[in-house]
Amino acid sequence: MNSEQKLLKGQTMEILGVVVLGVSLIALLFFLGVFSMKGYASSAEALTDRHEDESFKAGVNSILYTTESKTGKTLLELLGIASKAGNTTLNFGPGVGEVDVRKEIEWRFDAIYGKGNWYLKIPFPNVTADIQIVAVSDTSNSMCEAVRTLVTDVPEVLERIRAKGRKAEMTLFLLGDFSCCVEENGNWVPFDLSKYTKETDYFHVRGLPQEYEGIQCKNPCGADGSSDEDWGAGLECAIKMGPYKGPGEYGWKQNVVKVAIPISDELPGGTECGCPSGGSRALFERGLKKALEDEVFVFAFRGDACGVIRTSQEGCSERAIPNDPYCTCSKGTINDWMGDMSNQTKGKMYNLSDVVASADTIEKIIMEIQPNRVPYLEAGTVPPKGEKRAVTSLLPVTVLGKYVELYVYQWNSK
Amino acid sequence: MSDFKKFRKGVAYSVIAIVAMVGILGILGGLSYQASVGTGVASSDSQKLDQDASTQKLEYTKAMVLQQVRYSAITSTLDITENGGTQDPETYWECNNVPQPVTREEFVAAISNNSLQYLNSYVQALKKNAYLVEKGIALSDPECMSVELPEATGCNHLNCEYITSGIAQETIDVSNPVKTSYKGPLNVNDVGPIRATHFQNVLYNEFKDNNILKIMSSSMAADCPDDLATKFKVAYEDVCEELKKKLDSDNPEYIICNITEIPSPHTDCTRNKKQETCFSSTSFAAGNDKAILIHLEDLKFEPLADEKHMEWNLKMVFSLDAPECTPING
Repeated sequence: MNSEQKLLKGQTMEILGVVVLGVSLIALLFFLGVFSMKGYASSAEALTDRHEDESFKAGVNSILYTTESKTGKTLLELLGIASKAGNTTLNFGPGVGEVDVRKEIEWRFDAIYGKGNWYLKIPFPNVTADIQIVAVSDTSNSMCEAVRTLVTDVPEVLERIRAKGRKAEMTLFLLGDFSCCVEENGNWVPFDLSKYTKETDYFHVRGLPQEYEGIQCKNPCGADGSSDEDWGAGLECAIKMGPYKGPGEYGWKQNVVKVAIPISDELPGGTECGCPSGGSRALFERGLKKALEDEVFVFAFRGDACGVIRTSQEGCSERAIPNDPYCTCSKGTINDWMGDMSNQTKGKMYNLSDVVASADTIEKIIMEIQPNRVPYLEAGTVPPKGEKRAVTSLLPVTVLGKYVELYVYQWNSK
Repeated sequence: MSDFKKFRKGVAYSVIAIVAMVGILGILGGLSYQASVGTGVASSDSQKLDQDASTQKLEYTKAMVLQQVRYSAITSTLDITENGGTQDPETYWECNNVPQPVTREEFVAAISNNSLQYLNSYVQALKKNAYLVEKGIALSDPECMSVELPEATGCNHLNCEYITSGIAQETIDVSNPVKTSYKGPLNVNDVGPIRATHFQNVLYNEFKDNNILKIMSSSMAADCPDDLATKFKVAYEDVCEELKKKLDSDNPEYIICNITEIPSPHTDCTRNKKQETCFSSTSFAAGNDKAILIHLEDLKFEPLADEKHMEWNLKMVFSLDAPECTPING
């Protein structure tokens, strides 16, 4: 090899060395670019996040599986029962006692996630409860038309409502017998209740007993009073008895919306506004107290004792009702008392001046009344804005085929 | 520089480059190995998380089905006791003076059959629920629901408050994120609290020995001066007092008892025993002048906290002639 060839070989190898070094460096840089630390860090973070998500879900589930000591029921079961009841305080009877589901949730979640770091919400399902109504009607002569309308039209109203899927039934308790007259084909004839009453499985008309379980149901106010106008004590008895169930049997069903309707144009016990020694008020208070105790909604129907009446004793001849005290009392004190009773029991008072509308009013009451339920269970702290973990679970409710969703959020306070 | 020196310099550069390349290849090899190990760990961790997520879905679905078993069994027990111990709302425990109390087997069969209907409704609704569909969870239709009451021996008003119930074979499949499934029984032994077993036991013994009629008969004999209607009224009160004591001697106030006279049945009151169950073991019926309904309520527990207590409605058809008066000194 001559010197020129050696020089050329040396230069070639030098160039080759530089090329190999360059390629190796590029490969190293490419490798580091692809599998950079940043990439490792982000995938490691995602993995950690998923670990924490799964552990959060497992934590929530494990809390739901824990057993409450007094009832021996899991929180999952208690929450299902609370969703049906629409209440977070559950009463399992004297053998077990009451359980506050919200408190049971709070201390468990606080122990695991820390106070102020979590939030839980369960929207309760819409549960439409059956409605049972007891109505107590004054049977004085001025109430004839109102009662005729009720016994004729309410059964049809109830059937119509039931066809729409709202289960309702009504028992009308009468405080006495009628001796009034009604117009029939242009003639005034004595009112025969049985002729007009259309009893069905869901509408019954019964006479209120004089006494029920030691309670006097019909009391006159003093010597001039009238026991067939005592819708105060009458209401107490009707609520205690409950609606008609079968021969000799009365009682409220469980989990129903209870409604009571006193129907009158008089103060309890009669004598208009002249009952001595607060007798009417005492009878009124008995009815109100019972309604409040038993959580019965009262929708009072107030009549106007104005105009004329016709009694069968007087051959259905027309007799004018003196404006004072009858008409003024019905539009004054009776209006106030019935309004007060309705307001206190979360019901509403209706004026019976348009008797034809009374059955429609009952339809309105049934369609609009809602059971006393809380719309949701909420526990913990309202979540702050920003990132938080969330889990949604399904919760079986003690109502056939109903499920509700349970939402839990967790975050770390700074 | 001579040509030889230039040649040596070229070779030296080449050697340095080759050494550097070997070094870089070594580093690359090491890094590749590290990367493959890391990816493997991450991948296995991710697979494990997928498995955990599926297992969690499976376990939660199992918990929901178990909860449905509890609700079905308790609701069904309340229905059956209200009927008087069978699926027939007209359950006569005495027909024309012949006792026909509801046996334990009949009672269990009635609860089991009724529970299955409830459970199927629950499961059907669950299967259609979007939550389950989205999560890739499927479950089988329960074919049989077992019910087991506590042993009657040793059962009293203070124990026997829980029932065991379950499904012999249930399949739950989770398909997302990885496939996992459960096939086997799902049982709960904490259905309650409800004193249904104790009530059935006491009532069975009272009717089996015809004690109700005996109590009425002796009460009427002791209550001689009164008219027949009053005698019956007092006799019914005496029956209730006796039943209250038998059902809860410590707290008879927990028991509500009232007896009302009802119209006599138009059909034969004898009952055909239905005690076949789907889960194991094996499978009663006028001229009468009185029919009564014994209504009992146990106020001690409200198992579903919904103001609903356990109720029993027992019907009886019997004739009881006015007995001879008990001698005053007798």
